[in-house]
Amino acid sequence: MRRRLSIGLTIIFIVFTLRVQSQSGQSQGHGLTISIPEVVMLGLEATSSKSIVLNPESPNTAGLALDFANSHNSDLWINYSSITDGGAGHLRSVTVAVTGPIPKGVDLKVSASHDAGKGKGAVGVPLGQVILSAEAQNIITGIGSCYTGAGVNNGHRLTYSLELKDPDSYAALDYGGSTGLTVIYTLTDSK
Amino acid sequence: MSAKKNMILISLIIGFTFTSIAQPIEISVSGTPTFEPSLIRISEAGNDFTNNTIESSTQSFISISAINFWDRLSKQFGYRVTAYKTDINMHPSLILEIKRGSNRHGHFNKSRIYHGRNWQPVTNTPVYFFSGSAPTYNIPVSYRIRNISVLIPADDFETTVIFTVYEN
Repeated sequence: MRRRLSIGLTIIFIVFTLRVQSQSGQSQGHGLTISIPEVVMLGLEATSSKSIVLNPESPNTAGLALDFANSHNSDLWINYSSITDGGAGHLRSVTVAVTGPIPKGVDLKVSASHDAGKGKGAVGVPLGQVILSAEAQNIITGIGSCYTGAGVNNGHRLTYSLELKDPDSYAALDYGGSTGLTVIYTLTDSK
Repeated sequence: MSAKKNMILISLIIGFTFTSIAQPIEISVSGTPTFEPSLIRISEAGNDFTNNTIESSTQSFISISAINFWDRLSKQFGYRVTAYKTDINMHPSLILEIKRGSNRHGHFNKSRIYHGRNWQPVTNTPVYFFSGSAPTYNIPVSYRIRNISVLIPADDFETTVIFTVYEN
């Protein structure tokens, strides 16, 4: 009887020893953080110079007016990369303002095309033609986390035009040679 | 066999039962991987990040040892390690991957490690990482993040990576 008990206990001992080999696992871990930074980058691109010249054509015949029909330029493209914090309503805009005196009697206008579709994400929506002034005005709004692609033919094409303010403003035109202006674009949080 | 020997056997059985409940192999993880912010950069306005995949500049280290006295003595137990993550604040586009390095310190050259040398994703469900035998210390683990893009909102994304060791 004792011998059987001993054999039995020995078998149980072996079984439990083997059982040790098949227990559930033990775990340990650690934290890991990835920081995606806010990004606000804007650039202007052109095939050649970023300086453009707009000059109305002088009349060939006495009695005719200056011809503004060809006083426009579409050489510039606006590119941007943007990362917002993703919160509701946290969007950005591109504003435009000009420094320097705009000649009397004329309006300098600029419009942005729709995004060329070379990038990805929540690209902005153009607002249409803007009459430039010293005060910053929105030209593209609704920019979220996105990139437009870099270089010409990426992002939004800018079209400048110089127009007579109105027919009655012809008298305000003043010969003054060239007037140098600087147009400033800013990618900023929407107000 | 005497009653005294039976008592010893019973004690051993109870002892081993508790040992079995207490799990025979333990895993410890040291070090925290860090990702250099300077690696997340944009070369030019209009572009996405230059690197959509970045690797951690520091590693973590896994050590495997036996709790079981006999296993510790023999140094011949086998084990397998799984990995998974629990997200605190993680963007679904980001893919976390891990791989182990080859350097480690074992006991009397008895330690062996298999698999885990190639990048593999860490998901929210445990997946096999590597296996081995005998106590092994300071197995380096590298981390990388894929799909980093300006399309992901700016934020500090946090997750916890958990390694579990099972005895084979």
